[in-house]
Amino acid sequence: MSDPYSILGVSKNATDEEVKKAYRDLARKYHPDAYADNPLSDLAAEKMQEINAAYDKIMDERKRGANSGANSNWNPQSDSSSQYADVRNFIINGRYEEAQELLDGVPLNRRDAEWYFLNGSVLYKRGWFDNAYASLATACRMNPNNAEYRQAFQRVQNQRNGGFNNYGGYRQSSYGSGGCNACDVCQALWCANCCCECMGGDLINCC
Amino acid sequence: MFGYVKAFKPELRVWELETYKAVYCSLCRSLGKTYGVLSRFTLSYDFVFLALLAHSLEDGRDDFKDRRCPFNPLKKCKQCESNTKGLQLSSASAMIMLYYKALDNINDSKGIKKLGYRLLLPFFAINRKKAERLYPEINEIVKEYIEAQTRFEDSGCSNIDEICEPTSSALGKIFEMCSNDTDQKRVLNNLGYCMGKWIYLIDAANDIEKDIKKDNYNVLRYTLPEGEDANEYAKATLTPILNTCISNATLSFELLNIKKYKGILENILYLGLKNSQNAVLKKEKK
Repeated sequence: MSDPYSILGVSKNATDEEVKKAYRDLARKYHPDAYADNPLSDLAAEKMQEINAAYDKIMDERKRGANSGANSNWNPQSDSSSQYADVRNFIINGRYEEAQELLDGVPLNRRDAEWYFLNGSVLYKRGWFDNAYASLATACRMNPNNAEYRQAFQRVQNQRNGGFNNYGGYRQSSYGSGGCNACDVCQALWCANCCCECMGGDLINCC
Repeated sequence: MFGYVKAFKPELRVWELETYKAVYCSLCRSLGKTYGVLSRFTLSYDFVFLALLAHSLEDGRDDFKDRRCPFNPLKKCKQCESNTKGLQLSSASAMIMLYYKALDNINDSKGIKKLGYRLLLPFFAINRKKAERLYPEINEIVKEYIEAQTRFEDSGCSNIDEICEPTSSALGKIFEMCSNDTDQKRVLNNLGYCMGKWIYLIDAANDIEKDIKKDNYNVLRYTLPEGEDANEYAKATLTPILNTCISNATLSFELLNIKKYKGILENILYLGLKNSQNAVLKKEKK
């Protein structure tokens, strides 16, 4: 592999703490959950593997017998007992058009919660966010106890509410809404007045 | 359609702002060289984004040199010496999209505006031909997109996802051209798809009142309840989808192998889009 330090974005002299922090930040950014409904999840998984390998290599080099990095590889559920096993396999393999065709072939009166969940998942991967949301909502309504449907729905809700990933650590504004308020103006005037008076003048007579 | 994809300048570092402007000026120069002086007036920051994206995936430094603005001799600007692939791709896209947009506008508008577009059309047509010779694929993509868009609008499409599809897939295919790597192409396609959707919907939100007045197509008109304020409705309906588009666009962006200008691109995607979105959706009731 190429230099593990550059994969994690730290210098060779970084402390263990710095390496761990860099690893944690990257792991959060490329975690499978963040890309769960995304058509590029396989690329994210590759990136995640790269990051894990780099972290392991650095830690092994630094001290023998270190823990290997957290490795929760998300396995999309391949449930062979489900009647939609074929659809799920198509989705896992990125064959969304075939998955959609199979789903569309199910008559209206036979569409259960799982149908709406899978339909929502495929639509989401194809970028049809609005229809996907409606479908996932229906799935949760029909089967409120299913964790798989609920988690997917919550991820989508989170994105809709503007909670998009800032795992890249994209710098937030360190000040408020910017600009100055009355205190700043007053302060500036008072300072200017003092400076003026030092020089023998007087900017504001009453101060 | 244009003018929504911009950086949020207050959060750009000074050198990033200078680079952002330098790419704008470089694009202006590239347009002038290939398409004549008048084409420079059609420039917008959206195409600067495309040029930046293309450059960011290439190794090596861009050679910006100090020059003077041909339109404002008192202003110094930095321009790229070489007519890079990114600049050529972006300027060709601009010329092709403008031509087909002008055609579309002729059909949609009436009176003086229609006449205006008709007069400008030959100028756009000549440039489109030049661009087509350099990038025939872009011409095909945009032509197909406009035809599909018109078809959907004429048939009264009321499904939000469906009406966005032509714009999204067109932009996805154009973004793909920024790289030769298969995996990166997939990522670029997804980025373009999400941004295309966002652009289409933000434009729909911006134009809803005008479209109602002029009885033009707007997907929101099909579901807008009687008596409800159009802008409020647009905001309530579209905000979640727009947020989802930005979210997915940033997820794709993080998978790109960006070699340079990462800060500027991050600013545009994480801050600029949200800023434009807020500006459009928070319009006062007229």
